[in-house]
Amino acid sequence: MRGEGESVSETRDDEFAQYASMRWMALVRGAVLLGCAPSDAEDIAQTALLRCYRAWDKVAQARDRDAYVYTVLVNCRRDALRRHWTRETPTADVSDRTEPDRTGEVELVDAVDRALAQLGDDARTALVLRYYAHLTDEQVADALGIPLGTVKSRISRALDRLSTDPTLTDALRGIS
Amino acid sequence: MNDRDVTALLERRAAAVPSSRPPIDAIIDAAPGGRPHGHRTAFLAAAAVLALVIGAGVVWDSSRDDASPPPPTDTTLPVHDGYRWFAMNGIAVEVPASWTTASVGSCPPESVDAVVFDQEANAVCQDPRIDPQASSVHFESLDSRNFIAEMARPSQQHTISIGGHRALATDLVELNCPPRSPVDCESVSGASVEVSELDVVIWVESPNPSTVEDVLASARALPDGYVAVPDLTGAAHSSAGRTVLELGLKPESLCSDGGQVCDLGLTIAQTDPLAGSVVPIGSVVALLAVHTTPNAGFPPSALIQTDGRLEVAIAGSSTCPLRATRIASVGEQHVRVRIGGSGGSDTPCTADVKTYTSRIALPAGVRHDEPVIVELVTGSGYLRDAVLAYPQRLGNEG
Repeated sequence: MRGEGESVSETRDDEFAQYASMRWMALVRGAVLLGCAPSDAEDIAQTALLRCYRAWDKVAQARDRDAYVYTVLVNCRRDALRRHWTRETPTADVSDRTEPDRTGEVELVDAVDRALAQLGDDARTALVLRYYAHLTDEQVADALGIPLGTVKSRISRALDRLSTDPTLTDALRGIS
Repeated sequence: MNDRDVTALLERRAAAVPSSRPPIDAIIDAAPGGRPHGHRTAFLAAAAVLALVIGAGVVWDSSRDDASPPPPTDTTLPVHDGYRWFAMNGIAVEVPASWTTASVGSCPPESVDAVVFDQEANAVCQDPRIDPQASSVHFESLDSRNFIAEMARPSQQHTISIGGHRALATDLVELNCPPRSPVDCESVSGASVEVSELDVVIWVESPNPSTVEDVLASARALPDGYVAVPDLTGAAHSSAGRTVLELGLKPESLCSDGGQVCDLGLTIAQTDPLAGSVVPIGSVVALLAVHTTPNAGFPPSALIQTDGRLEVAIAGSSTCPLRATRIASVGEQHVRVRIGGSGGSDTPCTADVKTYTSRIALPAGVRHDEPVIVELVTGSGYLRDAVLAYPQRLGNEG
């Protein structure tokens, strides 16, 4: 059971810190699925969380906090695209350690990235919000500001396209 | 490609993104009106602890191979008085120790708080089990229906993280009675968590909503160094021992004890600790084996009477009936009953079969309101059989 008696401001920051800690990687990974490079994804997630922190009272009162935050994430991603995101890309240190064989993982990553890229940004966003962020169709519609029917048709078309992607089918067989 | 396939592909792709620390400090620094740094350090520490309690691994991936400090790992599983942990596929919940268990192929007794594994494997059981007189926690694979999620409105479902695993949590819902339900289940509440990547759904139902919330609030990933005792019901004795060994546990049974003899055809009826119980690696798991071959004769049975005495019914020669001669406690809710023939040396033991019932007091410390594992051993210490004795009030004379 949670303790009581904390001051309002501490509770607010604590709540944010707890939420951000738990959702950080999901947001970063969600941003990658939306089409960001992994290095940019952390910036997008950070920007999204900053916006949420500024409006935390509103976020905290949202009927579905995750839906609200993913909406912000999608908007941050769009803003970044509009600004032609050109931040520096750090070069990773060269590793001289032995890495495990990740051939299968690389193939799956490549297959999913290619399949998502073919969907187009709108369908891809709807698909990721529906099947990765686990938002409902209605929440996806709210997040994207589009009618429910449009969400359903975008997702349906996306699923049709994924289903006929032979590389993706092979990848799926590899993980099932 | 179905919905679950799409989610699986996206989650596998997402899992390839390296983990990183959440830059909470930087976010609050960048926001106008952020608090002084000293305070932040304190609440960040508290948040980190809370995040670890709620789901170790969600923030930092222990396999990350970079220059950042290693993530803190939670390797303990605190046990609160009167509770014990049960787990399936790496997700554990803490359950009152008084709850009984029902393994694969068996239905939970009515009106008894229970932990149930893979109930849908047995089509005989009421589906779903809604019992207005009792609480239960159910561990199911994703192949089973998560009927609580089906009943919930979208606004009652949200994603959470359990040990770094994305989980779909369903808030408390009021359950509807299944068709032809013999009971009134208007007042029963239920909730669930579903961890698709680990193929496990845990749902809880209870007439007491706080019980549901408390059990699910305890959900966490099984820390390193712990495993769940597998459900070996019906497994051959020899393969069960190997399974236990492979998990890093130590199998123990009369059959593996030097000098003891076990017949071929023995299968596992029960384990101690019970299936699903969470134990540290290296723990001893007792295997209770029974005869299940068709020619095993008349199986014994046992029952705990309302006065707390154990009744053991054993078939034997009518002139030399087998009786319980001694009883000893050998574990939690686990007794060993020595049996012997009562015929004199000058009396021939006829070949007819008659069941003789012995009544014997349960040893001190053995609760007579919960099921008891009863081993039957011969005067020489050989395992003859093992049965599970239920309290008579449960209405199960198994």
